[in-house]
Amino acid sequence: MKTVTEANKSSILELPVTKSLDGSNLINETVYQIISDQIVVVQSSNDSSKKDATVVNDGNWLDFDVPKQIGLFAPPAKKNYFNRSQKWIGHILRINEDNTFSAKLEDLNDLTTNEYAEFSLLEVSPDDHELLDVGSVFYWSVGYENKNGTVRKASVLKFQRLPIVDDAEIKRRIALIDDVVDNVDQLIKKISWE
Amino acid sequence: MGIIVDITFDKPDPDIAEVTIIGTGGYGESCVIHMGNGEWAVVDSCFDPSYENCLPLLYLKEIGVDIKSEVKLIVCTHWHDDHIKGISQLYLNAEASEFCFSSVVDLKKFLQLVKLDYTKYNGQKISNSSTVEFNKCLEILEQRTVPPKKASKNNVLYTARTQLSQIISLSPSDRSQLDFDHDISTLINGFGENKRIIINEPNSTSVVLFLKLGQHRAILGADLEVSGDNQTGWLDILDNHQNILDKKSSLLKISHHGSENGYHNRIWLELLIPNAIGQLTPYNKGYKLPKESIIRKYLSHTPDLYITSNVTLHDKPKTRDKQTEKMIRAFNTTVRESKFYLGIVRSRIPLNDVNANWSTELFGKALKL
Repeated sequence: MKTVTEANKSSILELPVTKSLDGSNLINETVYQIISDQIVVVQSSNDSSKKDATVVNDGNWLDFDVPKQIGLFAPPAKKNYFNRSQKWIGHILRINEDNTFSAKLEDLNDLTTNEYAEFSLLEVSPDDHELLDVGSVFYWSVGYENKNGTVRKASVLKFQRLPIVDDAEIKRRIALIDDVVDNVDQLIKKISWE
Repeated sequence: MGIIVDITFDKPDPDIAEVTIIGTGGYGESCVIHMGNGEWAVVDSCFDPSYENCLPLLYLKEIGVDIKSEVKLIVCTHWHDDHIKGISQLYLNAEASEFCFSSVVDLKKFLQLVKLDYTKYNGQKISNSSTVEFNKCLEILEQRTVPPKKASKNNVLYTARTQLSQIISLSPSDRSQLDFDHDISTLINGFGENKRIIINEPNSTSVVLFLKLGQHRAILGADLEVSGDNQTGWLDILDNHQNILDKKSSLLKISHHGSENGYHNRIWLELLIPNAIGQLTPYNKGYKLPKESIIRKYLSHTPDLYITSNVTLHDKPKTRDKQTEKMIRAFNTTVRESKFYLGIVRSRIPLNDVNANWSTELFGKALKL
């Protein structure tokens, strides 16, 4: 063990130390220092009243306080997320009398063969009930949901909504219709019935 | 890669007529017709969902038909998902072909509907895939600046060079066209970017074809049904065919997958010879067609009934990793895959031999009922 003096202080490598986010406690970190040709282990102090670079040399330990620093790697907060295993785009073929609807499903992971299924109207969010109609398009996902740290299987049906009808949207739709009408007017000149 | 692995198809001789039906179990059906002397017509289209290749095109290439010059007519019998997948690929290749679809009262309005629906497509799945296919065909028509052919009641669509063969449309009736026109207006009014276009009665505008093939006759029933109105559907044909059908037919492509509504006793009594051959494709999406009871009815009319694949309702979802399969089962046990089953029923007959019978061969999943 060596005494830290002004002369050899420059060879001390100061390493970043993390602390808890609320700044209350210093994390008791072991700081490794290379002093000359020796690696000396020192301990930071948990005493927040001590300010930096107070060196106490009792002959056995180099003991100094690490000033409070902002934690660089705070542990992640718990987040809610949905880990999707499978997703389809579907459209309603038929609304049945037994409060179910039949749908054709296209696998968004594998756009080859189609699937068909029945769904209960109870699986549809109340907000989406107004969208229930033959031809209506929806997305169906199944996967794992993490809510506040609790993981469980989940199935989500979400119907496709139109954009909010504001002035910009109305203009867009009018432009779309105008384009289609113009397009067809040109087309009909070229491809009328024989 | 051939249309069916390990099977080599041959081209018919110039004096042999051919009516070949290609079925997929849920991804369309198509009928390929040799009218004689290297003149071909194709009715509707289908594809393999894994490769998205047009199956009638593949078949014709495989037997050595010069698609560019020998395919003379392509008919789109109705605007419905399971009948025209891949048709634009075929039309693009068939440069000498005329393109025919069901007559509509107001062509402009119909095109507006098609174009409106097409605006929803930008690689998205929102659009009706029929619309996408049809729109591509319109683009080809526009580039070629040729008019489309109109299929309506008693309209000659094509006459072969030799005059021995003809293709005539028997539908849709005037009344069906008016009804469809009304449907189009309703669909345009109710157009929504978050909805697929679903036609209420798509089969009523379906195009039934009468084939004159030398000495022989055949009827392709598309998806036409019998309705309660004798001015539409099969009843209109049955009540008004006398001037156009010069002979009874010896082959029928049974309409609407052998459904009850596609059957009428009068079709077999008035339009077909005894024991005429029946060809059909099954329907395996959600419910099965044909049902056992209707198969028995057809078999009472003919011993020669052929189907492109078995009537099976696959009752499981697609194969996926075990975890995902378990997940799907946990939430919905009704998910089932519409599997691809390729089957071909090929019938040939000498054009000029009035006493000849059809010779039918089966390929892939096709079987005799």
